[in-house]
Amino acid sequence: MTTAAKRPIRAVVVDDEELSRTLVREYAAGHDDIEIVAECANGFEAVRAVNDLKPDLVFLDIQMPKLDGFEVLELIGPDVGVVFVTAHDDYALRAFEVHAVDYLLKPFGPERFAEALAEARGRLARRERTPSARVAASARPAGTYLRRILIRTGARVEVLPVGSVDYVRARDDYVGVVAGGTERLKQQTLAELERQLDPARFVRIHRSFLLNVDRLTRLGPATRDSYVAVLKDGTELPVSRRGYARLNELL
Amino acid sequence: MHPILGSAERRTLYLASWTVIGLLVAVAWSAANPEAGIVAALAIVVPPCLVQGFVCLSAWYVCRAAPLGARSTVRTLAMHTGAGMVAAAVWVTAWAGWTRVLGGLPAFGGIPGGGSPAQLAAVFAAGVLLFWLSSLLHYLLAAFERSRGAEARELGLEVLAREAELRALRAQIDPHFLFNGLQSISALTGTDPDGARRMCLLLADFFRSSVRLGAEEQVRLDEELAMVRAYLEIEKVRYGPRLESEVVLESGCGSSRVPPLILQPLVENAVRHGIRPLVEGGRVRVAARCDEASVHVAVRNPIDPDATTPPGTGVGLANVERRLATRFGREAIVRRKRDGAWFEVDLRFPRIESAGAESRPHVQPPAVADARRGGER
Repeated sequence: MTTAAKRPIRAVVVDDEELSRTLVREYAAGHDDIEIVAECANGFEAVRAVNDLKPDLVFLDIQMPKLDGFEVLELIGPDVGVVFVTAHDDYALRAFEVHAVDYLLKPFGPERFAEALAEARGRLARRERTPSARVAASARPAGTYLRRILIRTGARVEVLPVGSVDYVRARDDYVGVVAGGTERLKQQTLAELERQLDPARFVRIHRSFLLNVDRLTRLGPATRDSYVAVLKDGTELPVSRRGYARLNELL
Repeated sequence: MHPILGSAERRTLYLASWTVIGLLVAVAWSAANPEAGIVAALAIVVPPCLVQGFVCLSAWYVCRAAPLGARSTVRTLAMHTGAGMVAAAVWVTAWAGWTRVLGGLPAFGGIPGGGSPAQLAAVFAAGVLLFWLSSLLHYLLAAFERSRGAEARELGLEVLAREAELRALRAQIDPHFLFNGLQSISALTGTDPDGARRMCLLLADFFRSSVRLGAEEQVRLDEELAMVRAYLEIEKVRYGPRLESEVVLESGCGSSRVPPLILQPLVENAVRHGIRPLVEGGRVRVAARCDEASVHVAVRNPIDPDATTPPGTGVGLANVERRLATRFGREAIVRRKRDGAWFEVDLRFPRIESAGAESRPHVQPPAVADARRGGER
């Protein structure tokens, strides 16, 4: 490597098994251009560590407590290279879709680790990023709907089960997810989130509103061309003519 | 499908046998008519014999209409006699017509046209006899085919049952368990070689007994629980202090019989879906007890009460249910309970003791097995 390799790669190891983390650390010790800056035992710790330490690379297990590997990836954003480390080969396709740097199958040897590291060096030198929309889409297995919405504020992660969400509103580049009367901002478009949610539960009642139909109590006319949805907590939301048609179709 | 017409090989054999029959009849005929040469005898006898051979194929339809044992013997005999007489009439007519045709030719001059009534009566009797022979042949073929079909079906069923059982057994142990175990060993070799060796031995013991028990039709409850302990021991190396375990067996129950590896999927689920998603981990508890009639095993583990992640596909538990149902029918009960932060699977199935109510005689009762082991020493 040329001058670009002078600064070592800063990496975080995320695995709920201590032995597995030890092994990555041991393999990394054999290379002088990589430095392990943190070890994390679960998804929350991983998001915090990435937020605080801004590493170049994450060695990421997939099945972990709290957040799985793909959810962590969705939350940490596209600036970090990811090497998945798992005993399961059935996530390889999803890993490929999110442009993972590499996919290490447990158990793996130092040679395989060196290959992954070489690939990471190349990626970092070319400054390739992971496209985030793809990451969000692959955070759940194909053919299923989102079960929970992840919201990150700085290093803090909140996990909202979709059943607890009242409605979602569009706010420029963000969406406001309202649950229990509190709104939380998430960087995503409303259309993107709508695609990930179960259409039998969440209905786009308006250009800017996505409603959890369980929360609806009453639907009334507002003007000649529009309606208003009244939620269980008394909140009133605008309903467009197309939204009204969609609601009628579902109910 | 006709058993003879349906196969080229049998058709050839059948034609060959009728040629032989034709030759024999020709020899008999030339003995009765010494004035005609053997060539004339062959010319006269062989063609009607081939016709009769063809006619006798119809015996199969009689055999099919009257399978052996399906009707009274008298009735079956009557049917074959009737059919035989019709066939013999065709054969006599063919015989008489053919001799008359040949008698008109100058080369065969002097041959009695149509034959004498006594000769024709002998030919008729031979015709009935040949038909009966053919009936016998067809009965034999039918029986042969039936037994071959039954054999094939039985083999097919056995293969299917074996496959199902193997599939179920293979599903008992998740292959990732091995990969993760090897990863642990790989990690330990650097930092704790003694630990690595211990892990190798644990894995070896576990897989050896899984192979041994998996080959049995049923195993002792205490053997099954020893497997569970070995499994949890290995997972403890992986999960460290996050996994605690407790395996309890009520005294006096150890010799009860259980299907091999029936608890394995439940304990695996308890670790994978119970302990793994918990940051702090927890304790897996396996408790087995029994009363007069039944064995009761409970597998209990903590779960994350807030978890919205899917609880797994349930393949393991469904497998356990199916295996118990095939073995015990409605007498096996599988219940799952979820209360707050705990999940429990309860199995209850009939108690079968090693001696006494042994339903599968080829499984050695332990007393005998022990004696045998003693003898080998």
